[in-house]
Amino acid sequence: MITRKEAIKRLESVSLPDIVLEDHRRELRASLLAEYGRRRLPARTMLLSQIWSSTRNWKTIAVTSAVWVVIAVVITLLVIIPASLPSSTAMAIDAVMADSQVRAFMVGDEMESITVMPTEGGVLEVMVEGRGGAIIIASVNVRNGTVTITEITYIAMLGSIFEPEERITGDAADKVIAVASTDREFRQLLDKGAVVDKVVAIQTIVSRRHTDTGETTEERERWAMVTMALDGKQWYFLVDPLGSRVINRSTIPIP
Amino acid sequence: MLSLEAEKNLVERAKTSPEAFGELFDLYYRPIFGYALRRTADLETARDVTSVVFFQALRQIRKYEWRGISISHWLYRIANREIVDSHKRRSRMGFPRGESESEESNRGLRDEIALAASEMKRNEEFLDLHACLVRLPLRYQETITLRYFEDKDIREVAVILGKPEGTVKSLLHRGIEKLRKMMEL
Repeated sequence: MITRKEAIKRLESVSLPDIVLEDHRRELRASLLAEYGRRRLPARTMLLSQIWSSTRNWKTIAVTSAVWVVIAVVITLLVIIPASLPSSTAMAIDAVMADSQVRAFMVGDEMESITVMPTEGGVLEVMVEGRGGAIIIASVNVRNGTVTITEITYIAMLGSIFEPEERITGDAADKVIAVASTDREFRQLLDKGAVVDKVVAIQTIVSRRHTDTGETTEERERWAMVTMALDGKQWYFLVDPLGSRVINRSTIPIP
Repeated sequence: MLSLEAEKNLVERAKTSPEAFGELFDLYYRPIFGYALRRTADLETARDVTSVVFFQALRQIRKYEWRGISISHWLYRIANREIVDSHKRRSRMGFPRGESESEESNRGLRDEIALAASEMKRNEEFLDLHACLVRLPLRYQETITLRYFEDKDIREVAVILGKPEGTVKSLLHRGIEKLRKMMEL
């Protein structure tokens, strides 16, 4: 059984091929520079040049006009009409957000983001991410609006405020803050003048339930918690330094 | 590496000066070829993708608007699109790309590819990992490769792929989960 952490470590530590095709590089460079010299912008537009020229070629004008009409019809059919109809993506989001099971799983958590990815056979995969770290993945059949939850992930923190903290300092803390800085809210707080109060190590359990197969996996992972302070208020961000995930836990009580 | 200000000047000059375009090429040939190679693990495809990237860059450089970030993001984006297209072309053909007559005649480049191919075979660990990675849908392949092999942060990956940062994070999360399962097989 390979854990998520091991998979990420393998991605980070694999030795990558570092090959350069020197002959190709030289030839491509020479071709590009030769092409640079040859490049000329097309100097005329066929239809306008024909209309305004003294020797008008009506056959060319008719053909070019017909082409433009066809293009206009195609744009209308492919872009303008579909844009006025509700998209399958919007339908999928509505279906997932209205689903009673999804709403039940998200109780106590705010929605952070929703991502829709096409799969096959008229099915869209919708990923709902909560601010507290819950992730729900559901398949939506856009033909009949059926929502099937395929995976639910929760992140639970271990330990309590009564246990001694394991402070993270130096380069390790800088790395955690760099990952945290990829989060929009974290950056906004920094811009407003918030300061990082402390960075501590925290044990988490990432519990993943695959509802389609009935399989549940639990992984203990060492994350970090960054505490920020501004005007007497505090914010808590859970950071997975390996997976680059940042979760704002400010609205959820700290154990 | 150039500072952003120096790169901005170089890009502006490259719009009218072939020498400046040559400098840009020298700066980014290696990263773009490397990315294409790490995405495809195929030297010929990586070579073709790199050629297309720089020819497209040449065609569009005059319209390029500086947005305060390195032009390499734009080149990566073109490379990504070309890799997806080459993948679709191969899928439609249903068999590996054959050698064209002009390639056949170009003995020097063929020899170079053959030499590099034997070097490539030595990267066994990477090739094993890549074999798992290519079994994922393309959207996961591109996100994972940019994040872990190209060492781009979430913001950079989002710029290159033209997706919101939240989507990139979700794709990474899901992609790694899928990759983990592939590794177990």
